[in-house]
Amino acid sequence: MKRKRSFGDRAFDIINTIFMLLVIVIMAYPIWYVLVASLSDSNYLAAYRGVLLWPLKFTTAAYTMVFKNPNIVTGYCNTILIVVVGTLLNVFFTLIAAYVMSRKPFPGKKIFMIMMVITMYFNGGIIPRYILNNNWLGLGNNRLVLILPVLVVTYNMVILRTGLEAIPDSLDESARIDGANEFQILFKIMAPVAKAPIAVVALYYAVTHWNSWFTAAVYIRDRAKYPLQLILRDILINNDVNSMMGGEEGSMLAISESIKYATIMVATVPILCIYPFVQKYFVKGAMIGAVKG
Amino acid sequence: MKKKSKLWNEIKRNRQLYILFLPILIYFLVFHYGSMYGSVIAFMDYKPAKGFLNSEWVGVKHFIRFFQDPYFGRLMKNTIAISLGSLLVCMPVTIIFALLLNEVRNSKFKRIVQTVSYLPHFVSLVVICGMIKVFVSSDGIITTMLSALGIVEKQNLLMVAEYYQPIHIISRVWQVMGWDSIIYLSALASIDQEQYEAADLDGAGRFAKMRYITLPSIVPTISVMLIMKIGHVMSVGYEKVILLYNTTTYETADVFSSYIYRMGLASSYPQFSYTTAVGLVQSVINIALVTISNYISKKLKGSSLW
Amino acid sequence: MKHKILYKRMASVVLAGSMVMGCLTGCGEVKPSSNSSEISTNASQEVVESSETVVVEEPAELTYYGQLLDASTTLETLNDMEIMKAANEATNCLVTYVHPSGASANEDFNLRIASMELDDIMEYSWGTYPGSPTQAIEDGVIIDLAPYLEKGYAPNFKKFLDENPEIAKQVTTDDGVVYAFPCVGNESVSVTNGYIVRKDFLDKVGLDDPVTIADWEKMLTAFKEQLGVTAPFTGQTNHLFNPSYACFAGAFGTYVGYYVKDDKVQYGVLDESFKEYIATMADWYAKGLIDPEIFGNDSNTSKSNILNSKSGAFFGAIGGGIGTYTTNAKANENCDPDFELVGVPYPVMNEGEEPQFISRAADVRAANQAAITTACEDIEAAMRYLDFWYSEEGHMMKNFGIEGLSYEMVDGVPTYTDLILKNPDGLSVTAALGRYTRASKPTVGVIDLQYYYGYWQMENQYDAMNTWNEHADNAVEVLLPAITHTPEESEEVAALTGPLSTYVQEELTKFIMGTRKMDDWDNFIKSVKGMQADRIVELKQAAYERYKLR
Repeated sequence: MKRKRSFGDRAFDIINTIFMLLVIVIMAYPIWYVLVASLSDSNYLAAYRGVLLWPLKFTTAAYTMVFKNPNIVTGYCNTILIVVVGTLLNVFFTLIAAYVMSRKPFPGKKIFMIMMVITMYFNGGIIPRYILNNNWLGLGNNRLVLILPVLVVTYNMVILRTGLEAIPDSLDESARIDGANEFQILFKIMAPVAKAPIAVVALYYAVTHWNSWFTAAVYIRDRAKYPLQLILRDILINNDVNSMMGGEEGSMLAISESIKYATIMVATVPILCIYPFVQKYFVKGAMIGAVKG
Repeated sequence: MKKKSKLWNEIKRNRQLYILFLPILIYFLVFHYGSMYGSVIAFMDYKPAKGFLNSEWVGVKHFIRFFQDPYFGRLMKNTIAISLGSLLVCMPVTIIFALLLNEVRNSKFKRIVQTVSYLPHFVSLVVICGMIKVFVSSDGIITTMLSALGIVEKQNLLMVAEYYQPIHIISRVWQVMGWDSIIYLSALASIDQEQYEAADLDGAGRFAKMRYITLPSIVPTISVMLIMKIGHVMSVGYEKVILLYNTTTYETADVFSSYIYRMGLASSYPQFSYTTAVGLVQSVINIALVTISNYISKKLKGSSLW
Repeated sequence: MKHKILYKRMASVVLAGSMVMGCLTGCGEVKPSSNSSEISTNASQEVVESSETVVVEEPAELTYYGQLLDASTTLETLNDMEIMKAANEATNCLVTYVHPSGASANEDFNLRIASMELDDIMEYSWGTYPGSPTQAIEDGVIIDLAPYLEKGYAPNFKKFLDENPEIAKQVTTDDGVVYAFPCVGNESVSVTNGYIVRKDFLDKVGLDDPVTIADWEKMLTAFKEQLGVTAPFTGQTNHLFNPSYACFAGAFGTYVGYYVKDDKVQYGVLDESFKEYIATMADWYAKGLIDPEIFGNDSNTSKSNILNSKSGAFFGAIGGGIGTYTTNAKANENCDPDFELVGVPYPVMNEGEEPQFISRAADVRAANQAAITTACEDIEAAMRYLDFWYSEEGHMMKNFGIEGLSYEMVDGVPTYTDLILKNPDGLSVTAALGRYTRASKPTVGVIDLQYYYGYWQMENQYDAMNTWNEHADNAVEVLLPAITHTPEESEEVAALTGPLSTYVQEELTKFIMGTRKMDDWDNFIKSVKGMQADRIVELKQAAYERYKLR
């Protein structure tokens, strides 16, 4: 069915497109800046001020330096392992929690929910957590410590629950009549329909795992088990010599700026590539088919 | 007896749910509640080497010190202004962006905008703040544009106390708008297309559809996000503040976290108990705010976090 | 205890690995080591059973907790470092290094203490242990080394302390406890920061290096008026308020923090002359001699000011200032080809005076002091190992590495080889030093003066060093030594300094920017006193008295 589009309609589209183009320019700039800076000669970078648009004296020397670090490869492997395994476990358990919390009231539901919400705002602090994870649970220097303590994040659980609640009741009622148990309803019926919120939550978890370094810094002692971010942080922080510190520290030449930016690129680009995979679940009306079918 | 058996029946009927939830329950009890007792150090003079059992109990000493701090009022004011400001600006902007993006017809273009919009989220705060400083310095691009419009004088905007909070908040929009919009976009994706088709038949215009179909469909998401974010009103991260502020803007920029950060550095004396006490006060206020906003939301819309 | 065992096991794995490596690289002689584990490691019980085989004492296994520092980009563990292997051999110890993550060394340390997960030797800035190092001993974390020094377990270190009583004072607490083997730099360069000026600017305006405050004003004015420089003196907030960098105050005979005068601790801000200092800065600021954006700058902006000839003077370091900036400028075609920096003397009020308030590093470096913990079972071996780094042999290894590899003796002077200075793998000098020596960051041992000469490649760096260090020892009289507060004092000081320093910095900013008039100074002082500045001075005085009694 084609209808003639009104003038207002077209004007809206044009303005909207211009607005979106503006958004692209503003939003792309930071990452463009990092890219351009990483490909610049650091001597030129040091003197430059203002809006950086193109590399200053193009060079890839910074990347050569970063990839010379033998730890980068092991870091990548560890991170990928943690992201994949971690995200799968996260999504699985978060889905269960969100599903249970999206059901009609049952005894204890409210208490469970409040129990989870409290953890968003309260925590015992780093030292008790350390004693718990390291001394009592024996997770020190074990890659599981990067996954288990953050198995279910309440915030993500709530997002997923909201997504599940949006699914019409008719869907699971019919399944229930067919004699399906809760587990089947969750994974056979609800999960395929709730692809969009699941994708969002998976993305959130994956990005969190990818970016996390603090937990690893606290618990992982073995450099062979370091995730990428921690190795890169080592490069950035350890060499980020404050030029004003007294004594030996101050006499050092600081790491060149372009190496810092190359490091950031190396650490960021792979995770950026995940998004298009997530995006395909955002197609309008993903649910329609399921409701009808 | 009858009541009890009714409860028992309810539990029995939902037994599958309990079984499903059991691992989650165990997880929360072990990993979260297992370490929560640590907050008691707020009432102690905690010494790491002595541990929890042997450190001295001092009651509310640290809380009194916190409330009596000469800067308490100012810190409270700035903390709330920055976080509430961020919330009130970021959320509407994010939602409007998601709605507008949803209206883009060309799906390829839409995809590009979406992908690009969340990029700033991945650039580290240090780099972002470094850029902000360059942009708002006396010869920076933003200062130049704004002074041409006669809005500001040609000077370093980060050296003017009144501008600190707007800079902080607007740059936050820049950094999180795209990323935060993902959740709304996913909610928009689940809207039943039949509603739009029906509205088309009724001859509803673009804005009418946005107003009467799209927006109401994502209201539950919006209210849940709002409630959860209100719960973080007392927590403003110190990193961005210490990267952007300076002695000329302390007056409007200094928040609890940055103040404590500075104190810790100044004294090189890790004040575990004191900082825990401050954190505890913040948590309690946050939880109170969540409870209140949840209550309001329940009364107004019937949607509740729990 | 479980973790201890784990580390020990890791130690043996590493050992096996390094032994294999050692043999692969062609070590012919394998020392016969006794199979019997019953043989005690205690030296006094050494019994030679057989006259035919030489019984070598089993090496003592030790774990050593410390940061990788500049080796972090090249090594996974310090155990792989040539000098560590050599040190093990020389001391008959088997030291396994354990590293915190460089990114969070302090947190990691706090957690180690909180869970009492201790290694035999631990490097940390023990002076900052909450409530003094004595507290660390009382808490049962580390041990008092004094009795073991008396027993002669660390002859080189003991000798060093006997010869340098001032150093001994700094590693001894108020209660006569020796708590760590520190990095000492008494014979080295103790001033590496100072005022740096564009030499080419000075030549253009026909002025000599500034000496007095009046010279400075003349110079900055000339830069502004004759060269059109928009921000003659650049820097950051720190360069006006942080005691170590705000050295214009010194010319007025005052200090932006706590210092000592006539054996009394003073708070500089309360001085009459401090008002003059701030008034002068306010005057310079109003005249445009100080970068108008100084409060908004970070290190990148002030650096680009210098490189772009927007500024002509700043406060900086020999390496990160003169060195880096010159390198940047020479490699950048957009920079002034005449670009040249010179380190100028610390300013004074009148010609002929000597500067006193100089940014001088303490002889005993605060960072990475090695202490022996209560977990150590073989204290004698741990002492022996740490003492090695103060011996002739250990000293050379710490500072220069292995002869023939990282240094050569040229005319009796150790000189770094190209492995360090022009590393074939493209490592920076810092990274190469971190890989082959332990000189580039403070670690146990004494810093050799030759280390600085070894890698400072520019002549103006030497000149700056000489200029700044000429009166370095004047600072010892006025700077507060490394006093230690009792736990109660620490807490009170922390609670009082927080609000006070915020207030002072904020108000001084207003005075300098002219938003608060100098006439209002007395009210400011009144407020400072109201915030119990005197009480802090009192507490510092008490700690200082105890220090003097050491």
